[in-house]
Amino acid sequence: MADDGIPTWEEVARTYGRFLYTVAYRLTGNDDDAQDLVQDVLLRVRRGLETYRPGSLEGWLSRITTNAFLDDVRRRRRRPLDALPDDPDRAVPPAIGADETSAAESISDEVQAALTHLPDEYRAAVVLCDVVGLSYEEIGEALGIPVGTVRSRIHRGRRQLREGLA
Amino acid sequence: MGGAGPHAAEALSALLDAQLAAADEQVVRAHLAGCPACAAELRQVEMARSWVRGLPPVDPPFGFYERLLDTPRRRRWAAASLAAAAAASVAFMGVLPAREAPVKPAVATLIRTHAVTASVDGDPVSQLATAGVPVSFRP
Repeated sequence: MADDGIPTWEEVARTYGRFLYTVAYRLTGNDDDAQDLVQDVLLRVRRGLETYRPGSLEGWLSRITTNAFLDDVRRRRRRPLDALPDDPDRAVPPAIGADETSAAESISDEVQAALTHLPDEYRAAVVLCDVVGLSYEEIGEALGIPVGTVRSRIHRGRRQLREGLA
Repeated sequence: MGGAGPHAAEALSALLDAQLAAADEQVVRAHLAGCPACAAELRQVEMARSWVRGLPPVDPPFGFYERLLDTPRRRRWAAASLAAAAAASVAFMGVLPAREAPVKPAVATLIRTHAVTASVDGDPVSQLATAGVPVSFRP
């Protein structure tokens, strides 16, 4: 920990590596993009670009991760050609045969696939709520949106997720 | 209570997450008691919520963070050892005497030893070395 209480990026990687990767994977839905996202987050931490307020480090990291993710999504939207993945299977985890994996892993893959199909803004709110465990107020602060919008995105996200897995 | 129309709608997720003010919660619960559509939707979103909450942590690929941290750390270590070496040599120079001290090498002994070893036949290096020894220095 540096003198000002801000964790160094090495400390973040060492102590919160798994947490960070989980959030990145749930947001992006695949290993390649999750790795890029984690790298982006560590660079932001390293450059001191993100204001750290003493409190939950997980909350701080998930805020950085979600914003880095949404920044990237918006960048891709501005350049429509980049929005198309090179490989159509890339956005969705490849189907895994029932004999290759346990039932629990298979359910997780299906839930992840449904999550990946949600609109990015809905997914960000759902991940911050149900994966990270932030309150609506914290999610609103993290995403810079009113609590009413958080509520609506989470609810619509869950409803679409349920429909996607029906 | 947000949402469309007379139904509880988007307040349902907030209810599940305990994110409603007490007064709003009462209103939503009262509505749910008499609205099968909202009660069904509550069950649906509750299921979706439990699925996402049940997702396991994801491990990064083996060695991912090590690779990520490796390059800059090595560079820093290299810089640190260079700095340490520089500091050590400065410190060493500090303890050296300021003026040159006279040295008395045992030149005669060195020449004698060399002449003896150089006289052994069959060793090309030694044979070459004898050529460099001035005759006047032979004992």
